Amino acid sequence: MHRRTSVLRGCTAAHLSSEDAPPHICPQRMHRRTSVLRGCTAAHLSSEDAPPHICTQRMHRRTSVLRGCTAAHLSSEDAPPHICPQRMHRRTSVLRGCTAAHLSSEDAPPHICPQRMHRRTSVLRGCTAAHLSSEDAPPHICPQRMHRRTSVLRGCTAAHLSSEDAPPHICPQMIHSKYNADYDLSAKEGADSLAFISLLEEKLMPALIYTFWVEPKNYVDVTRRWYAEHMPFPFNFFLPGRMQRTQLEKLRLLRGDESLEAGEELEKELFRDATECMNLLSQRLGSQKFFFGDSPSSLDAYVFGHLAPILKSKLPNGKLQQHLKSLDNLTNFCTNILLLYFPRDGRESSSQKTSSQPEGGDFDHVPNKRRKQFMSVLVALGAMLSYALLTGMVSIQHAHQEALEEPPDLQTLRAQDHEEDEEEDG
Amino acid sequence: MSLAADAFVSQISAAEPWPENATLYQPLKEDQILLSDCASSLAVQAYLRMCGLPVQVVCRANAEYMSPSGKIPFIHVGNQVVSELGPIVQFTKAKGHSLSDGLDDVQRAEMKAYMELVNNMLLTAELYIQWCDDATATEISRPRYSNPYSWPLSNILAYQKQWEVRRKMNAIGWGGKNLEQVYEDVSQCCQALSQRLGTQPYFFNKQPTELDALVFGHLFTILTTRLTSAELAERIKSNSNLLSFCRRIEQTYFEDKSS
Repeated sequence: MHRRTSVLRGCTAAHLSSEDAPPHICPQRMHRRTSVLRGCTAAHLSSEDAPPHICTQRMHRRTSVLRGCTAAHLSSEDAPPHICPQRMHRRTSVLRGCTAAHLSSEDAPPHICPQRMHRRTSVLRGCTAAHLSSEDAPPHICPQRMHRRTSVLRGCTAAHLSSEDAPPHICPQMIHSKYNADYDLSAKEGADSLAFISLLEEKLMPALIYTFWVEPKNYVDVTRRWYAEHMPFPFNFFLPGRMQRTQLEKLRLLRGDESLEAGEELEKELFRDATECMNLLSQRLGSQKFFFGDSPSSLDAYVFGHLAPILKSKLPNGKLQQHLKSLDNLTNFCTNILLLYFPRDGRESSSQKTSSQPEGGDFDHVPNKRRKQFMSVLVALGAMLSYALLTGMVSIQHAHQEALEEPPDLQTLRAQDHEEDEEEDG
Repeated sequence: MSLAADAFVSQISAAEPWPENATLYQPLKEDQILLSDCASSLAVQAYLRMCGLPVQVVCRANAEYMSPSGKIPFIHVGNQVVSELGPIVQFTKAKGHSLSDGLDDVQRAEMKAYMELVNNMLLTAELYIQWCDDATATEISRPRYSNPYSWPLSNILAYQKQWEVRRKMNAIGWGGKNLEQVYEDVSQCCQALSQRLGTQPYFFNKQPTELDALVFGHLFTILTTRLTSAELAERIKSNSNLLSFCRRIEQTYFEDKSS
């Protein structure tokens, strides 16, 4: 700690060597030195020479004057770290903005006081509430996990965070660290959820991609509209199409068929797999509330995430939805989770629906329609202008130029006429 | 593959008994076959042996191009050609041979889920190591894959295959993984299988199912194949019950018949 602080203040080598001396051996010397080095007055020095234990308060006050820092910081700094770790932490807040190297050295013995550490790190990094709340999770359960997490969070990019928030199979470290909803599942149940997640990925995912991106009617009427309506102007024209091509490509690779196209046969194959998968899930769920009894796990989240879009979206081609609706327990499972964990969203969407539905689809279309009208007017104007430029405009310009040129000619002519007249008169 | 064709196949085949001259085609065993194909092939063989259906294994250099779905292995039974374990299981079921009849609904759902787990993780990991790990691809996969072909064609085919697999890996999100992460996935999968197996002789009670055949095919192949690194086999070896499971199936279904 001492070495670090000295580095931070940009002290000389002399400072370093003396500061590195164990603080408890000779605090007196230390104090005197620091004061000398900082160019303090004799008065300060004399007060410093006083045995520190007699008048530590004074000392602190003095140093604070010297360094222009607040009393709180200084007092904590000068204290031997092992005596008062709490103060240490407070000090580190001063050091905020130090490099990663410093910070790592700050991650001193976590087993001593992880809680405090966490408080500190949160202060240091000005993290968002989300980070904090996750960091405030009981540290005594798994301090190691916390460390990994904090180290990840430290100056992390959005990518890190998003990967942590992703489903557990994407981030296996999280499963190992048990940082998930499956904390109280037995090992066998954990294995089961892994297996069912694989089942969903292999059987249901292709059908989902097909339903939302490849099936032409659904794509044009629903998916493209969703995306186009929520994208800013120039992107809404080409981004949805691009996304569709990526998804189609993905489906082709998943199926191992290069020339795969939307069609009856493909739809049947995919939907057969998907309905089988739904049936299996339904059988596994049985009459339980969640897949593993009464408390939710990551598998429930995963299943819900894949089934709810099918259940809730109004698609022109709703074969999957029809099948899902015929499986009562899965439908109940989805609505149950919606009610339990998305109470606000559910109400909002329902109120939105009720408010928007009476006014009909026209209301939804208005902004898009205006934009389209505007665009078509622009395009028409552009076409007309270019046509005019190519054909008529040139001659008009020409005529205009002539028109402009004519008057002076006329005037000069007239002037000449006048002159001539005058000459004649004269 | 299509639904109509499947229905047709199952109707036709249901009438006929299993013929004696059923054949299973796979690439050349010594010089050509790769880990993933060998595993799938062994899984089908194990399944057929568990059903007590005789099948003759034939090695063909162009087996991949003979297969109706382009995947290894496929069986030729009577006038039918069926590829991959899933359709083969359905095919034999139509003929009245099934291993999973004794299971209840939940067990059947779990069996299917675990089979997808093996396909999703073990098979993908095998493909990844074969084609996306540069050392393995250069030393083993490309030379072996193109072994039967002469020079210009061999290179073209091998690189084409590698390109195809790499694109698939990118599509399923494995493109960004490194080897260590793949090994980690394999251990995770093996741990899950090991937990599920527990101390039972087979995954579901005392009778083998297609899941047992599939797991055996993959694990046994990984354990007995020499790769550039033994890491993959090591990951499996850390689960002792899976090892004894492989040994048990090998002894029950493979040793006594070959001897």
